[in-house]
Amino acid sequence: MEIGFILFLALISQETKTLKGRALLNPDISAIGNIVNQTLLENKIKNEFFIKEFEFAFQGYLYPSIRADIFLTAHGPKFGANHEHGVEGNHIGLDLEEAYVSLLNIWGGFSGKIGRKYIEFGKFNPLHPEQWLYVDPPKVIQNMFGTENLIGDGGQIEFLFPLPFLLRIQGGIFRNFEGPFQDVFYSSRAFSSFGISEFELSFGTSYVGGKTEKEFANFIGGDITLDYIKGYTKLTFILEPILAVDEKSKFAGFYSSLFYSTGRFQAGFRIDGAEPHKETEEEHTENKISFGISPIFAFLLTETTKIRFQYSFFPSEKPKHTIFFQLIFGLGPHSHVLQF
Amino acid sequence: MRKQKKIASLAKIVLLNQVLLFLFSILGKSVGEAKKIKVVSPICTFADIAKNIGGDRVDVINLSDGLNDPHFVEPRPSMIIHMINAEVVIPIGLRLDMWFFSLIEKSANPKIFEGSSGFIRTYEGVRILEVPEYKIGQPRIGDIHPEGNPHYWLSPDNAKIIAMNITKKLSEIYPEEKGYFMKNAEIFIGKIDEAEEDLKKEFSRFEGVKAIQYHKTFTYFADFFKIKIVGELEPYPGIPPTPSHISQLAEKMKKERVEIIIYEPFRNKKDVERLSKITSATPTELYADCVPQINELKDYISLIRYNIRKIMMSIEGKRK
Repeated sequence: MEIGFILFLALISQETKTLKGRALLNPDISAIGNIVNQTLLENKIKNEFFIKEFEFAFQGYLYPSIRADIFLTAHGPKFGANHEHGVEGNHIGLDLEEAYVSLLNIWGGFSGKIGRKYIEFGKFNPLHPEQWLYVDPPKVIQNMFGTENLIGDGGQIEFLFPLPFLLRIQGGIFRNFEGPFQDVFYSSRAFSSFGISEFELSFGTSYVGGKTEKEFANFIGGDITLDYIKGYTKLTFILEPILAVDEKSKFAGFYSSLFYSTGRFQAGFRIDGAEPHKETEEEHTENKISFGISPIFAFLLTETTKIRFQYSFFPSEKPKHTIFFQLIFGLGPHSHVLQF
Repeated sequence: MRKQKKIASLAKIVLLNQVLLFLFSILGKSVGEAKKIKVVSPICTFADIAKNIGGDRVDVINLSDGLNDPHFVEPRPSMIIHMINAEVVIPIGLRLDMWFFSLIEKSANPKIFEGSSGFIRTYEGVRILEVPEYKIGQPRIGDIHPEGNPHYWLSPDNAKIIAMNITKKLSEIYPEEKGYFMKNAEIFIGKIDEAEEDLKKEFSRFEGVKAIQYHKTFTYFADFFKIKIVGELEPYPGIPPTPSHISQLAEKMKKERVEIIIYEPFRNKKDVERLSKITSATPTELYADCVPQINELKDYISLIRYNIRKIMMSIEGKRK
């Protein structure tokens, strides 16, 4: 026993190698494919098969407390857009989805991010399409931001409170190149989470505001998430209402979902309720709020491959019925920072 | 119009609320300071080793156990609180516990970032097995663990290295406690040596037994106790078995006279049973990590004892 221990003492006296050159300099390179088949059921059946997105990620550390994440996407048509079969409809465009540097610690609980990124507004907006629980984004997100996610170029600062429970606030200033804002807009978010036994209860409030084409617009969001996690069983409830208001008008919406997952299976549904975007208001004179329900079923084929089915029913929309089939697969070490 | 003004003022209230929360935190920053060294571990085994080394000088928090697959622990936001207050973290590394790293990144705690003083590279000095090597002419399948098999703690020899890595790091950070940590390390390594000796003696008549494992979890364990792993139920790590793979594996098992199929409690038992029916190899459920609430598996040494005895029972049952 003593000889063994002496050998270990020799080990202890060696210098510890920390980050090795290879680990520091070579980024993790990975790709994620997201392929969708969408069947629209109205008077006649219309089937559309398209590449939703191919995401290429380059991720790594610049320094122990500084990391960089770059996500390039070759993307197909956006959900909700009218895309016909043909060259234009199936055009694949290359885009810089996100590219930012994370300062993991600036000082005393402060951290920050600089670059292009999905705005941390609510639960859904910061997520990449392969992280969504659904095939398409909730209607409220599409109606509010006019895109699938609100993206901006700029920076944000975050602060984690030294409290016995999790409380984090964040504020940022960004420029918009796509979506509701014309130039500079501001964002903020407060998030808190409590873990009680197998339950995790999280609350968030979010704000973005900036000048649109005509006036200053404010978007206010709230989100509640309740997770029950026991072994391989997980139950997740999410409710996210969003309110948009400018000097002359307002519109609101929400989505809520409940999912049960165990092992490789996941089943659940999403309920949507959203007023139309004011620009398309004329088209919805009879029923201002459009409600919808979408049962969803997903199966994890491997750790990085999954298939998902979704049926969406929106009684006041055209088309009323949509059936989605999605295949997502991943190659290489792909990671996303834990989103709040 | 009034309503819109109300909503605009609501936006101001939300912003003001967020600013007030920030100020509140700055004023009350000294909440919950503790004297013990706070250590956070992704698995029960590392937590147990850290407790043995750190004794009453450490407060160890463990985020998962043998009932969970360490690849897929759900990182809860509330777990970040442990990271904010941590002085030392002991990740598994080798891309197994990516979820633990995401918690470290979100903590804004520079003491525990990779390369910092509170980050322990537990596998330093461990001989990593199954580092993928690709040869010309062979298909290249993207391996999820390109740096090698990350289940290294299941070899008692490696557990001793992990213990010394923890001892070394704790001694560097808290040099005044070095003697205490070293003494505890000596006691802990002595306990492993004793258990090792007993178990190797008990198991000696079964050395060379052939086994199939579900995932490449028990490679180090098998290497240590001289169990011959003939193959895996998963055709590639993380990829569930297909019927054709199961039938090919069954053929191989019959030829090689494989006696046991080892798997963890969270694997698909139907696959194991199907293979067992075809080959008559005995399904043997083992644990890859300790489980504090189960007495037989409460710590690392109990875990190793439990696993080796479970294998012996399976083989004895089959040979009767």
